[in-house]
Amino acid sequence: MLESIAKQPINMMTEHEKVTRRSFVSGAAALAGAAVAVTYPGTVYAAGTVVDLRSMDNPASPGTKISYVTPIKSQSSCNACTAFAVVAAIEGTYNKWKNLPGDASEAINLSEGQLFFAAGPKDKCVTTHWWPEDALAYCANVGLAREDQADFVAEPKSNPVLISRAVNLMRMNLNKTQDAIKDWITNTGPVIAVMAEYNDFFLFNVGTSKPYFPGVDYADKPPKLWFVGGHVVAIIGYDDGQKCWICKNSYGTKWNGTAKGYVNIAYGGQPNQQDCFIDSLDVWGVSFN
Amino acid sequence: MAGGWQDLAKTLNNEFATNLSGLANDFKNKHGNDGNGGPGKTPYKFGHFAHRNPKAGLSDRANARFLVDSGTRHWADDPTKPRAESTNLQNLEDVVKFSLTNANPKKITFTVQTDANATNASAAVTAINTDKTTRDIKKGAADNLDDKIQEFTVVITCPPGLNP
Repeated sequence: MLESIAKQPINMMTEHEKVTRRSFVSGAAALAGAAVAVTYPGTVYAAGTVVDLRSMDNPASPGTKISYVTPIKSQSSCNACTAFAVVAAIEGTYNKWKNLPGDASEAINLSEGQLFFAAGPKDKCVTTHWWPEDALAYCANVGLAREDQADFVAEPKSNPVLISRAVNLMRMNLNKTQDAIKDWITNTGPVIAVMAEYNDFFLFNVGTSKPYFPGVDYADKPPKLWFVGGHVVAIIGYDDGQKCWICKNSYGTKWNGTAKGYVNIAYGGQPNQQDCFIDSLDVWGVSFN
Repeated sequence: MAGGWQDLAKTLNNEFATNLSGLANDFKNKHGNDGNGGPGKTPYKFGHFAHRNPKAGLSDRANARFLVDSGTRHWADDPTKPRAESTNLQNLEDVVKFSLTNANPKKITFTVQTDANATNASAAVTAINTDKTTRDIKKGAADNLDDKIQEFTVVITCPPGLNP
Protein backbone atom coordinates (compact mmCIF):
# COMPACT_ATOMS: atom_id res chain seq x y z
CA MET A 1 0.00 0.00 0.00
CA LEU A 2 0.90 3.59 -0.46
CA GLU A 3 1.72 4.22 3.16
CA SER A 4 4.28 1.42 3.36
CA ILE A 5 5.92 2.45 0.13
CA ALA A 6 6.26 6.00 1.38
CA LYS A 7 8.72 4.67 3.95
CA GLN A 8 11.16 3.46 1.29
CA PRO A 9 14.56 5.12 1.09
CA ILE A 10 14.55 8.57 -0.41
CA ASN A 11 17.74 7.97 -2.37
CA MET A 12 15.93 5.35 -4.40
CA MET A 13 13.08 7.70 -5.12
CA THR A 14 15.41 10.22 -6.63
CA GLU A 15 16.86 7.69 -9.03
CA HIS A 16 13.45 6.53 -10.05
CA GLU A 17 12.30 10.01 -10.69
CA LYS A 18 15.10 10.32 -13.20
CA VAL A 19 13.97 7.16 -14.91
CA THR A 20 10.42 8.33 -14.85
CA ARG A 21 11.13 11.68 -16.42
CA ARG A 22 12.70 9.97 -19.41
CA SER A 23 9.80 7.62 -19.82
CA PHE A 24 7.21 10.39 -19.70
CA VAL A 25 8.27 11.77 -23.05
CA SER A 26 8.04 8.60 -25.08
CA GLY A 27 4.99 7.43 -23.16
CA ALA A 28 3.10 10.61 -23.87
CA ALA A 29 3.99 10.35 -27.53
CA ALA A 30 2.72 6.78 -27.64
CA LEU A 31 -0.53 7.81 -26.07
CA ALA A 32 -1.00 10.66 -28.46
CA GLY A 33 -0.83 8.19 -31.31
CA ALA A 34 -3.26 5.79 -29.69
CA ALA A 35 -5.85 8.33 -28.74
CA VAL A 36 -7.63 8.50 -32.08
CA ALA A 37 -7.72 4.82 -32.97
CA VAL A 38 -11.09 3.77 -31.56
CA THR A 39 -14.53 3.90 -33.11
CA TYR A 40 -17.82 3.13 -31.41
CA PRO A 41 -20.77 1.15 -32.70
CA GLY A 42 -23.35 3.73 -31.68
CA THR A 43 -25.10 1.58 -29.11
CA VAL A 44 -28.65 2.59 -28.21
CA TYR A 45 -29.18 2.32 -24.48
CA ALA A 46 -32.58 1.28 -23.18
CA ALA A 47 -34.02 3.24 -20.30
CA GLY A 48 -33.16 1.59 -17.02
CA THR A 49 -30.09 -0.23 -18.29
CA VAL A 50 -27.66 -1.04 -15.50
CA VAL A 51 -24.15 -2.28 -16.14
CA ASP A 52 -21.99 -2.95 -13.09
CA LEU A 53 -18.59 -4.58 -13.44
CA ARG A 54 -19.10 -6.01 -9.95
CA SER A 55 -21.92 -8.16 -11.29
CA MET A 56 -21.46 -9.27 -14.89
CA ASP A 57 -22.64 -12.43 -16.62
CA ASN A 58 -19.78 -14.91 -16.34
CA PRO A 59 -18.94 -16.22 -19.81
CA ALA A 60 -17.11 -19.18 -18.27
CA SER A 61 -20.07 -20.23 -16.18
CA PRO A 62 -23.44 -19.40 -17.74
CA GLY A 63 -26.09 -18.38 -15.28
CA THR A 64 -23.58 -17.06 -12.75
CA LYS A 65 -22.19 -13.59 -12.09
CA ILE A 66 -18.62 -12.39 -11.75
CA SER A 67 -17.06 -9.22 -10.33
CA TYR A 68 -14.02 -7.89 -12.15
CA VAL A 69 -13.47 -5.09 -9.66
CA THR A 70 -10.66 -5.30 -7.13
CA PRO A 71 -11.19 -4.30 -3.48
CA ILE A 72 -11.57 -0.67 -2.40
CA LYS A 73 -8.34 0.94 -1.18
CA SER A 74 -7.56 4.14 0.70
CA GLN A 75 -5.34 6.98 -0.45
CA SER A 76 -5.30 8.13 3.17
CA SER A 77 -4.31 11.78 3.50
CA CYS A 78 -2.12 11.70 0.37
CA ASN A 79 -3.39 13.45 -2.78
CA ALA A 80 -2.83 10.29 -4.79
CA CYS A 81 -6.33 9.79 -6.21
CA THR A 82 -5.01 9.64 -9.76
CA ALA A 83 -2.78 6.67 -8.99
CA PHE A 84 -5.61 4.81 -7.27
CA ALA A 85 -8.11 5.44 -10.05
CA VAL A 86 -5.66 4.48 -12.79
CA VAL A 87 -4.65 1.28 -11.00
CA ALA A 88 -8.30 0.42 -10.33
CA ALA A 89 -9.09 0.78 -14.03
CA ILE A 90 -6.07 -1.28 -15.09
CA GLU A 91 -6.84 -4.04 -12.59
CA GLY A 92 -10.51 -4.18 -13.55
CA THR A 93 -9.71 -4.19 -17.26
CA TYR A 94 -7.12 -6.93 -16.83
CA ASN A 95 -9.58 -9.07 -14.85
CA LYS A 96 -12.30 -8.61 -17.47
CA TRP A 97 -9.84 -9.45 -20.24
CA LYS A 98 -8.76 -12.64 -18.43
CA ASN A 99 -12.22 -13.27 -16.95
CA LEU A 100 -10.80 -13.34 -13.42
CA PRO A 101 -12.80 -12.35 -10.36
CA GLY A 102 -11.37 -9.25 -8.72
CA ASP A 103 -11.04 -10.90 -5.35
CA ALA A 104 -9.43 -14.14 -6.56
CA SER A 105 -5.89 -14.96 -5.55
CA GLU A 106 -4.77 -14.91 -9.18
CA ALA A 107 -6.37 -11.51 -9.87
CA ILE A 108 -3.87 -8.71 -10.07
CA ASN A 109 -3.18 -6.25 -7.26
CA LEU A 110 -0.95 -3.55 -8.66
CA SER A 111 1.15 -1.00 -6.84
CA GLU A 112 -0.39 2.45 -6.51
CA GLY A 113 2.72 3.38 -4.54
CA GLN A 114 5.01 2.59 -7.43
CA LEU A 115 2.89 4.57 -9.84
CA PHE A 116 2.58 7.58 -7.57
CA PHE A 117 6.08 7.82 -6.17
CA ALA A 118 8.01 6.76 -9.26
CA ALA A 119 5.96 8.52 -11.89
CA GLY A 120 3.91 11.00 -9.91
CA PRO A 121 4.02 14.72 -9.35
CA LYS A 122 7.09 16.33 -7.86
CA ASP A 123 5.15 17.68 -4.91
CA LYS A 124 4.17 14.13 -3.94
CA CYS A 125 1.34 13.87 -1.42
CA VAL A 126 0.65 17.59 -1.21
CA THR A 127 0.29 18.02 -4.94
CA THR A 128 -2.82 19.86 -6.09
CA HIS A 129 -3.59 17.67 -9.08
CA TRP A 130 -1.95 15.01 -11.26
CA TRP A 131 -3.50 14.33 -14.64
CA PRO A 132 -4.23 10.71 -15.65
CA GLU A 133 -2.48 11.08 -18.99
CA ASP A 134 0.89 11.31 -17.27
CA ALA A 135 0.20 8.26 -15.12
CA LEU A 136 -1.00 6.29 -18.14
CA ALA A 137 2.16 7.11 -20.08
CA TYR A 138 4.17 5.44 -17.33
CA CYS A 139 1.85 2.43 -17.30
CA ALA A 140 2.30 1.98 -21.04
CA ASN A 141 6.04 2.51 -20.93
CA VAL A 142 7.43 1.07 -17.72
CA GLY A 143 4.55 -0.99 -16.38
CA LEU A 144 3.42 -1.71 -12.86
CA ALA A 145 4.59 -4.23 -10.29
CA ARG A 146 2.25 -6.49 -8.41
CA GLU A 147 1.90 -5.15 -4.92
CA ASP A 148 3.03 -8.37 -3.22
CA GLN A 149 6.11 -8.48 -5.41
CA ALA A 150 7.51 -5.02 -4.90
CA ASP A 151 9.57 -4.08 -1.93
CA PHE A 152 10.13 -1.02 -3.82
CA VAL A 153 8.87 0.97 -6.36
CA ALA A 154 11.13 1.65 -9.10
CA GLU A 155 10.72 -0.54 -12.07
CA PRO A 156 9.05 -3.84 -11.43
CA LYS A 157 11.53 -6.58 -10.68
CA SER A 158 9.94 -9.00 -13.10
CA ASN A 159 6.95 -9.32 -15.40
CA PRO A 160 5.59 -5.80 -15.14
CA VAL A 161 1.99 -5.35 -16.18
CA LEU A 162 1.96 -2.98 -19.14
CA ILE A 163 -1.16 -1.64 -20.73
CA SER A 164 -1.30 -1.83 -24.51
CA ARG A 165 -2.87 1.54 -24.91
CA ALA A 166 -4.78 4.31 -23.21
CA VAL A 167 -7.66 5.91 -25.05
CA ASN A 168 -9.09 9.34 -24.41
CA LEU A 169 -12.88 8.95 -24.40
CA MET A 170 -13.76 12.62 -24.66
CA ARG A 171 -15.95 13.23 -27.71
CA MET A 172 -17.33 16.30 -29.40
CA ASN A 173 -20.29 16.61 -27.07
CA LEU A 174 -21.46 15.30 -23.73
CA ASN A 175 -23.92 12.73 -25.11
CA LYS A 176 -21.31 11.16 -27.35
CA THR A 177 -18.80 11.11 -24.51
CA GLN A 178 -21.32 9.43 -22.24
CA ASP A 179 -22.04 6.81 -24.91
CA ALA A 180 -18.31 6.23 -25.37
CA ILE A 181 -17.92 5.72 -21.63
CA LYS A 182 -20.81 3.24 -21.53
CA ASP A 183 -19.42 1.33 -24.49
CA TRP A 184 -16.00 1.14 -22.91
CA ILE A 185 -17.31 -0.12 -19.58
CA THR A 186 -19.55 -2.70 -21.23
CA ASN A 187 -16.95 -4.03 -23.61
CA THR A 188 -13.54 -3.38 -22.07
CA GLY A 189 -13.43 -2.33 -18.42
CA PRO A 190 -13.52 0.53 -15.91
CA VAL A 191 -12.93 4.10 -17.00
CA ILE A 192 -10.76 6.76 -15.35
CA ALA A 193 -12.55 10.08 -14.88
CA VAL A 194 -11.52 13.46 -13.47
CA MET A 195 -14.34 15.17 -11.60
CA ALA A 196 -14.82 18.51 -9.90
CA GLU A 197 -14.72 17.89 -6.17
CA TYR A 198 -16.80 20.05 -3.83
CA ASN A 199 -16.50 20.23 -0.07
CA ASP A 200 -19.59 18.05 0.45
CA PHE A 201 -18.23 15.06 -1.50
CA PHE A 202 -15.70 13.99 1.12
CA LEU A 203 -18.50 13.93 3.72
CA PHE A 204 -21.11 12.19 1.54
CA ASN A 205 -22.71 9.31 3.43
CA VAL A 206 -25.93 8.13 1.78
CA GLY A 207 -24.68 4.90 0.26
CA THR A 208 -26.28 4.16 -3.07
CA SER A 209 -29.81 5.27 -2.20
CA LYS A 210 -29.42 8.39 -4.29
CA PRO A 211 -26.73 9.64 -6.62
CA TYR A 212 -24.27 12.26 -5.52
CA PHE A 213 -24.28 15.64 -7.19
CA PRO A 214 -22.83 18.82 -5.69
CA GLY A 215 -25.19 20.22 -3.08
CA VAL A 216 -27.33 17.06 -2.82
CA ASP A 217 -29.25 16.92 0.43
CA TYR A 218 -28.13 14.38 3.03
CA ALA A 219 -27.67 14.09 6.78
CA ASP A 220 -24.81 16.20 8.10
CA LYS A 221 -24.23 17.88 4.77
CA PRO A 222 -22.24 21.10 5.12
CA PRO A 223 -24.35 24.26 5.10
CA LYS A 224 -22.30 25.90 2.37
CA LEU A 225 -20.96 24.57 -0.89
CA TRP A 226 -17.63 25.45 -2.43
CA PHE A 227 -15.37 24.00 -5.07
CA VAL A 228 -12.25 22.18 -3.88
CA GLY A 229 -10.51 21.11 -7.10
CA GLY A 230 -9.98 18.00 -9.17
CA HIS A 231 -10.53 14.44 -7.99
CA VAL A 232 -10.14 11.21 -9.94
CA VAL A 233 -12.25 8.06 -9.65
CA ALA A 234 -12.73 4.84 -11.61
CA ILE A 235 -16.16 4.45 -13.19
CA ILE A 236 -17.09 0.77 -12.97
CA GLY A 237 -20.67 0.90 -14.21
CA TYR A 238 -23.70 3.01 -14.94
CA ASP A 239 -27.39 3.13 -14.09
CA ASP A 240 -29.55 4.75 -16.76
CA GLY A 241 -32.60 4.58 -14.47
CA GLN A 242 -30.98 6.74 -11.79
CA LYS A 243 -28.91 8.55 -14.43
CA CYS A 244 -25.65 7.99 -12.63
CA TRP A 245 -22.19 6.51 -12.94
CA ILE A 246 -21.24 3.76 -10.49
CA CYS A 247 -17.82 4.74 -9.20
CA LYS A 248 -15.02 3.16 -7.22
CA ASN A 249 -13.51 5.80 -4.97
CA SER A 250 -10.25 5.68 -3.00
CA TYR A 251 -11.36 6.92 0.42
CA GLY A 252 -11.44 3.42 1.97
CA THR A 253 -14.35 1.11 2.76
CA LYS A 254 -15.71 3.25 5.59
CA TRP A 255 -16.57 6.12 3.26
CA ASN A 256 -20.16 6.56 2.00
CA GLY A 257 -22.02 4.37 4.45
CA THR A 258 -23.45 1.11 3.20
CA ALA A 259 -21.85 1.60 -0.22
CA LYS A 260 -18.52 0.92 1.51
CA GLY A 261 -16.32 3.13 -0.61
CA TYR A 262 -18.35 3.09 -3.83
CA VAL A 263 -20.52 6.00 -4.92
CA ASN A 264 -23.13 6.71 -7.56
CA ILE A 265 -22.37 10.04 -9.20
CA ALA A 266 -25.03 11.78 -11.30
CA TYR A 267 -24.50 12.03 -15.05
CA GLY A 268 -23.33 15.47 -16.07
CA GLY A 269 -25.54 17.87 -17.94
CA GLN A 270 -28.79 17.19 -16.10
CA PRO A 271 -31.07 20.20 -15.63
CA ASN A 272 -31.64 21.80 -12.23
CA GLN A 273 -28.57 20.20 -10.82
CA GLN A 274 -25.07 21.31 -9.94
CA ASP A 275 -22.54 19.44 -11.99
CA CYS A 276 -19.29 17.79 -11.01
CA PHE A 277 -18.45 17.41 -14.72
CA ILE A 278 -17.35 13.81 -14.23
CA ASP A 279 -18.06 13.00 -17.85
CA SER A 280 -16.80 16.18 -19.46
CA LEU A 281 -13.35 16.96 -18.06
CA ASP A 282 -10.90 14.14 -18.78
CA VAL A 283 -11.94 10.52 -19.35
CA TRP A 284 -9.70 7.57 -20.22
CA GLY A 285 -9.97 3.85 -20.84
CA VAL A 286 -7.12 1.34 -20.98
CA SER A 287 -6.78 -1.93 -22.82
CA PHE A 288 -4.47 -4.91 -23.12
CA ASN A 289 -4.97 -5.77 -26.75
CA MET B 1 -0.98 28.27 -14.31
CA ALA B 2 -0.31 31.79 -15.45
CA GLY B 3 -0.08 31.07 -19.19
CA GLY B 4 -3.61 29.73 -19.63
CA TRP B 5 -5.03 32.23 -17.16
CA GLN B 6 -3.43 35.10 -19.01
CA ASP B 7 -5.15 34.05 -22.22
CA LEU B 8 -8.41 33.84 -20.35
CA ALA B 9 -7.87 37.24 -18.75
CA LYS B 10 -7.45 38.79 -22.21
CA THR B 11 -10.72 37.24 -23.36
CA LEU B 12 -12.54 38.35 -20.25
CA ASN B 13 -11.15 41.86 -20.35
CA ASN B 14 -12.29 42.18 -23.92
CA GLU B 15 -15.79 40.98 -23.01
CA PHE B 16 -16.02 43.36 -20.05
CA ALA B 17 -14.80 46.25 -22.20
CA THR B 18 -16.97 45.68 -25.26
CA ASN B 19 -19.98 43.61 -24.18
CA LEU B 20 -20.65 44.40 -20.53
CA SER B 21 -24.44 44.35 -20.69
CA GLY B 22 -24.45 41.16 -22.77
CA LEU B 23 -22.08 39.53 -20.30
CA ALA B 24 -24.32 40.56 -17.41
CA ASN B 25 -27.42 39.16 -19.14
CA ASP B 26 -25.68 35.87 -19.88
CA PHE B 27 -24.56 35.70 -16.26
CA LYS B 28 -28.05 36.27 -14.85
CA ASN B 29 -29.59 33.79 -17.29
CA LYS B 30 -27.14 31.15 -16.10
CA HIS B 31 -26.81 31.96 -12.40
CA GLY B 32 -29.97 33.86 -11.46
CA ASN B 33 -30.55 37.51 -10.66
CA ASP B 34 -28.29 37.41 -7.61
CA GLY B 35 -25.75 34.91 -8.94
CA ASN B 36 -26.76 32.37 -6.33
CA GLY B 37 -28.77 30.09 -8.61
CA GLY B 38 -32.44 29.19 -8.47
CA PRO B 39 -34.82 27.03 -10.48
CA GLY B 40 -32.94 25.86 -13.55
CA LYS B 41 -29.95 28.00 -12.68
CA THR B 42 -26.69 27.10 -10.94
CA PRO B 43 -24.88 29.19 -8.32
CA TYR B 44 -21.90 31.02 -9.77
CA LYS B 45 -18.44 29.53 -9.18
CA PHE B 46 -15.41 31.38 -10.49
CA GLY B 47 -13.80 28.51 -12.39
CA HIS B 48 -16.95 27.17 -13.97
CA PHE B 49 -17.78 29.86 -16.45
CA ALA B 50 -15.27 28.67 -19.01
CA HIS B 51 -16.51 25.09 -19.06
CA ARG B 52 -17.96 24.30 -22.50
CA ASN B 53 -18.39 28.03 -23.00
CA PRO B 54 -17.28 28.88 -26.54
CA LYS B 55 -16.84 32.52 -25.56
CA ALA B 56 -14.00 31.53 -23.25
CA GLY B 57 -12.07 30.38 -26.31
CA LEU B 58 -10.34 27.52 -24.51
CA SER B 59 -9.73 23.99 -25.71
CA ASP B 60 -11.41 21.16 -23.78
CA ARG B 61 -8.09 20.44 -22.15
CA ALA B 62 -7.45 24.02 -21.10
CA ASN B 63 -11.04 24.25 -19.91
CA ALA B 64 -10.59 21.28 -17.61
CA ARG B 65 -7.29 22.57 -16.29
CA PHE B 66 -8.68 26.01 -15.64
CA LEU B 67 -11.61 24.54 -13.73
CA VAL B 68 -9.43 22.27 -11.62
CA ASP B 69 -7.07 25.15 -10.89
CA SER B 70 -9.91 27.30 -9.59
CA GLY B 71 -10.71 25.27 -6.45
CA THR B 72 -9.64 25.76 -2.87
CA ARG B 73 -6.68 23.40 -3.30
CA HIS B 74 -5.11 26.25 -5.25
CA TRP B 75 -6.76 29.12 -3.39
CA ALA B 76 -6.72 27.88 0.20
CA ASP B 77 -6.18 30.50 2.89
CA ASP B 78 -4.18 27.85 4.73
CA PRO B 79 -2.30 25.46 2.40
CA THR B 80 -2.48 22.76 5.06
CA LYS B 81 -6.29 22.82 4.80
CA PRO B 82 -6.94 22.42 1.08
CA ARG B 83 -10.62 21.52 1.55
CA ALA B 84 -11.38 24.56 3.71
CA GLU B 85 -13.23 27.53 2.29
CA SER B 86 -11.08 30.22 0.69
CA THR B 87 -12.08 33.69 1.82
CA ASN B 88 -9.97 35.11 -1.00
CA LEU B 89 -11.82 33.13 -3.65
CA GLN B 90 -15.15 33.95 -2.00
CA ASN B 91 -14.21 37.64 -2.14
CA LEU B 92 -13.52 37.38 -5.87
CA GLU B 93 -16.76 35.49 -6.53
CA ASP B 94 -18.77 38.06 -4.56
CA VAL B 95 -17.26 40.88 -6.59
CA VAL B 96 -18.05 39.17 -9.90
CA LYS B 97 -21.63 38.53 -8.74
CA PHE B 98 -22.04 42.13 -7.61
CA SER B 99 -20.63 43.42 -10.86
CA LEU B 100 -22.72 41.33 -13.22
CA THR B 101 -26.05 41.37 -11.35
CA ASN B 102 -26.04 45.11 -10.70
CA ALA B 103 -28.54 47.25 -12.58
CA ASN B 104 -25.50 49.10 -13.86
CA PRO B 105 -22.96 46.32 -14.42
CA LYS B 106 -19.43 47.15 -13.35
CA LYS B 107 -16.42 46.62 -15.57
CA ILE B 108 -13.71 44.30 -14.21
CA THR B 109 -10.17 44.31 -15.54
CA PHE B 110 -8.12 41.19 -14.81
CA THR B 111 -4.35 41.00 -14.62
CA VAL B 112 -2.56 37.69 -14.08
CA GLN B 113 0.96 37.40 -12.75
CA THR B 114 3.21 34.57 -11.57
CA ASP B 115 5.03 34.75 -8.26
CA ALA B 116 7.86 32.26 -7.90
CA ASN B 117 7.43 32.29 -4.13
CA ALA B 118 3.67 31.84 -4.09
CA THR B 119 2.29 28.54 -2.83
CA ASN B 120 -1.31 29.32 -3.64
CA ALA B 121 -3.29 31.44 -6.05
CA SER B 122 -4.79 34.67 -4.76
CA ALA B 123 -6.66 37.68 -6.08
CA ALA B 124 -6.20 41.29 -4.99
CA VAL B 125 -9.38 43.25 -5.72
CA THR B 126 -9.52 47.03 -5.92
CA ALA B 127 -12.67 49.08 -6.36
CA ILE B 128 -12.39 52.30 -8.34
CA ASN B 129 -15.13 54.71 -7.32
CA THR B 130 -16.90 57.19 -9.55
CA ASP B 131 -14.87 59.98 -7.90
CA LYS B 132 -11.69 58.04 -8.87
CA THR B 133 -10.77 57.18 -5.29
CA THR B 134 -9.89 53.54 -4.72
CA ARG B 135 -10.22 51.00 -1.95
CA ASP B 136 -9.21 47.38 -1.47
CA ILE B 137 -12.02 44.82 -1.33
CA LYS B 138 -11.25 41.88 0.93
CA LYS B 139 -14.53 40.82 2.49
CA GLY B 140 -16.66 40.39 -0.61
CA ALA B 141 -20.36 41.11 -0.11
CA ALA B 142 -19.63 42.30 3.43
CA ASP B 143 -17.34 45.02 2.12
CA ASN B 144 -20.00 47.62 1.33
CA LEU B 145 -20.20 46.99 -2.39
CA ASP B 146 -22.37 49.85 -3.63
CA ASP B 147 -23.08 52.09 -6.58
CA LYS B 148 -20.29 54.47 -5.72
CA ILE B 149 -18.12 51.85 -7.36
CA GLN B 150 -17.54 52.41 -11.05
CA GLU B 151 -15.28 49.47 -11.83
CA PHE B 152 -12.88 46.90 -10.34
CA THR B 153 -9.37 45.73 -11.00
CA VAL B 154 -8.42 42.18 -10.08
CA VAL B 155 -4.79 41.08 -9.91
CA ILE B 156 -4.53 37.29 -9.78
CA THR B 157 -1.23 35.92 -8.53
CA CYS B 158 -0.41 32.34 -9.46
CA PRO B 159 2.26 29.98 -8.17
CA PRO B 160 4.64 28.76 -10.86
CA GLY B 161 4.56 25.34 -12.43
CA LEU B 162 1.01 24.92 -13.60
CA ASN B 163 0.21 26.06 -17.06
CA PRO B 164 -2.90 24.82 -18.83
